[in-house]
Formats: sequence, C-alpha cells, structure tokens
Amino acid sequence: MKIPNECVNASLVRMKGPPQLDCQIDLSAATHLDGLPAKASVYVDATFRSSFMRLYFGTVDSISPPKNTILDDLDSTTVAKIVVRIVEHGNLIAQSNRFTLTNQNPHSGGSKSIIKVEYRQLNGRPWKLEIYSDDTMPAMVLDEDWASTCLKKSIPIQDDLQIMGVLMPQIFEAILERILLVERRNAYELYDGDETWRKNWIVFASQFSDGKLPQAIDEEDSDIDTSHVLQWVDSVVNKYCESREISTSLIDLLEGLE
Amino acid sequence: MKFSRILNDEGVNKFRAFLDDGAVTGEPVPTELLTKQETSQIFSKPLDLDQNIVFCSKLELGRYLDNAFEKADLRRQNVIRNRNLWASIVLHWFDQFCPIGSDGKRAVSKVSYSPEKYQKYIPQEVTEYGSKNLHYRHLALTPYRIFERNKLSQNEGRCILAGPIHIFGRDIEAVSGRAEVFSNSQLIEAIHILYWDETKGKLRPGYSTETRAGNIHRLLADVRNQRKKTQDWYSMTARQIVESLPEEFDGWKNRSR
Repeated sequence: MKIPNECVNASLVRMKGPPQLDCQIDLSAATHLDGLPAKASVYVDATFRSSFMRLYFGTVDSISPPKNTILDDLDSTTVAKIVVRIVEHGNLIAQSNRFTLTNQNPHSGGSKSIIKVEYRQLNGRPWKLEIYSDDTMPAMVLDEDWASTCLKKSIPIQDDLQIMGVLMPQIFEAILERILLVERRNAYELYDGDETWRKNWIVFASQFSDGKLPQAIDEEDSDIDTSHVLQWVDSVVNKYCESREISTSLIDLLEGLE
Repeated sequence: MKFSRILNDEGVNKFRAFLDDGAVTGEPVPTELLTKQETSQIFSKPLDLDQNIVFCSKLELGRYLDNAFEKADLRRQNVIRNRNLWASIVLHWFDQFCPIGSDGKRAVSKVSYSPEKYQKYIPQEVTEYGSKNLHYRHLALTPYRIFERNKLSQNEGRCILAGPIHIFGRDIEAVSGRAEVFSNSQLIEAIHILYWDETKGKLRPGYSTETRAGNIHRLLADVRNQRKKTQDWYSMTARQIVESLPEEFDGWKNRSR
C-alpha cells in the first residue's frame, strides 16, 4: 500500500554537522490505511548514496519519533533521502514515496510545499519571486537558460546549497512582508485558519519566533506604525538563518568544506 | 612508517601522468610524490601505513585501513570524501594495486568515457544535490567501506572482499553499486550463508555463474527487486532472508545447512 505524500512532513533542521531529521507522520489523512495492523512497526529509512540509517517511529497505533533523530551515520551533512515504511514480521505493508530533503529547502520532501519552482525566459534577470493575490502558491521563477545550464552540471538550482542559501532568506522576508504588511492579514487568524499557502508560511515562520505572532495592522489606518511587524519579520528571518547557519555554511562551501 | 603527507592536486595530476605513461611500461612507482613539498600536503592525522605489508585480500586491506583510521581517531565521514587521500593510498601500495605482469608491464585500468579515466586508482568526484562525494569504483575506498559497514558482523563482508586487491570484480560492483545491498548487513550475511564454504574458506564454485540457478547476480538483481515489493529485508535476519528465497536457491540453501 502507498502512504500518500500528505501523511509525511519532513525537513532537515541543522545546517552544521550531521543533519537532524524533523519528521511528522500522520496516517489519519489516508482512509485506505485505516485497517493497518496496530502493532506494525513504523520506520523512517534515511539514505544518501550508499549510507543508510533506520529510525524507529513506534507502531501504527502510537507513532512517535525516536529521541535522537540526528543522521550522523549518513555520508552527507546536507542531504538525506527518506522513505517511510510500515513493516510487520518482515512483510512490507505500506511505503511512502522517496523524498529528497536538503537543509535549506524547507518541506522539500514533505506534503506541505510552501513555494513552487517555475522556469521561464527572464531575459537577463536570473530569478524573481511571484506572489499572487489569490490562493495560488508563490512561485520562485528561475531563468530557463540559467536553470538548464545548472542542470547540465547535474545540480538543479533549487538543490544548489549556495544559491538557495542566498535566495531563501530574501524569499522568506518578501513573502512575510507581503502577507502582513501589504495584504495586512491577521497572523493569528491565518495560523488557526484553513490550509492555505499563507497559513503554511505563518506556521513555518512561527517556529522561529517561539510561536509568537505579530498583532495585525488595522486595514483602514494608512498611518499606523508598522515597525513591530517589520521587527518581527526581521527577527524571524534572522532566526531562520541562524538555525540553519546559512552564512557559516556559505563560507564552508566556498572553502571546500561540507 | 608514518603516512603523514598526502598528494595535493598537483601531486594527483603527476600521479595521473604516471598512469598515462610510465605505469604501463613498468617504470618505478613515483612514491616521492607523497613526500615532495610541491606535490604533497600535510595530512591532518598521521596514519600508520606500513609500505611493506602485503595484502592477500580486499578483506585484509579493508580491515587494515579501518584499523589505521581508528587509531588516528578518524571516522568514516572524515575520510570518505577525500579524493587525494584515496589516490595517495593507492600510490603508496601501487605495486599491489597494479602489479607488474610476467611481461614486465602493468595492466592499468582505464575508463575513457568517465571524467576520471583512472577511477580505480584516483576516485572520481561526484556531486549530488550540492554534496561532494567519491564514486564507489575505487580499489581502496570500496573495500574499506564494505569492511567498515560489516565489521561488527561475524563474516566482516569476507564473501564480497575475498579476492586480491587489484581486482574489482562483478561481485563487488554488484554490491557497492547498489545502495540497498551495500547498506544491508543482514543481506551481506545472507550472501555469506549461501555462497561461502566455511570448511574451505572460500566462495563455493559457480556462485556467480549466470547460467546457474540461484546465483548471486539473480539474488541481488531480479529476486531482490521482486521481493522488496512485499518484504522488508532490513528488518529480517540473514537466516530469514535465506529461508524466504524461492526454490531456485534450494541447492545453495541445502549446502549451507
């Protein structure tokens, strides 16, 4: 049986040293998995090239991550490929797709994509961010020629740690400012509201602010002080960069370290 | 002798030039590249690598390197991405990795289509998702990695590492080129149970003969690919894997009991 993508949400949460896997598995989203044996084991298998680690996430009726999810036996400190497997007595009962996670691409393997990547002719401009007023997910648009040249060198741009290390903080800041300052949305309402790309970005941002969210700006008042929102966004983006040690990682990459 | 310097990039280029030219005609190995200032650099942790040691198998080589790294307090992750270290190790014992034949010449392995044409001696660098690694097709790196992965098991991967160090045969290729085989110590133990003759201390004849039922290539390719849809070999013991194999493996199973 297939474990749908929606059931798995995973990311790597450390930039320096071995990566740490943050993985949530919620099988309730898939009704066809209702009949799984309650005591079947749930594993997350992490691989990179020929290295392998198996993490035990409990049983179907009680899924919980192990205490230690640091992937210190993998041969990469920046990339991991994961598969969720449900096993009983050596029989494979259900399995997810294989997700490739990198430590600068949040949710890249999980179900909640928060940005899409598109390729277009940008006539000299390397990339741009497109944020739409409706529910269409924001797009990181990459110049087609640049992207295809990178691909020829076997690195898709969106997986290039150097490039993404530079772009992601800017994208993060621009999207939060758009939601909170331009659209003047209420962060608390979004957080508790229905599943939308705006909610997913606010939930993602809240990880870097100890769950605190900024007070909404009055939609009618054009003279209102917005500095508390700007400070919150700035602090969130700083924490994001700090937690992923982006500057250090860029320096290490330039110096040929990993 | 302490192995305290390794080739720098210039040294690797000079080693490649030797492989291009003098190696084939049996010229002396330029081990001085490992000590000259212009062609070498200090290695962070000096290793105890006896130049006069003779390795009878890839198992001995893997075990020796693992021991040397452990003594120098180096973990696998500290060494497996260092191209120049692995090129230096091959150069250090080059006469064993590429022995001179009775005609006074060496059969230097060369892959013309690959970015690193001497990848058996100088590991080929590969980048995946921005992460630099070394290709597995290397005469020193892969025996070390297979040993390191299986050193806690009773067989230490000996069924895969049985042959001489200058030969990188189809078995080692079949194991090291498949992540799901390489990383599964229980499967390596199952291969040992099926094909290793404990009394003679060697692989059973015919184990890799393509026309023979239940040969190792059938096990690692077709049968494994079919079984992995319904079985999880990572959570099974070696004996359970062996017993679950189809009828065509019965001959090997019976011999292993």
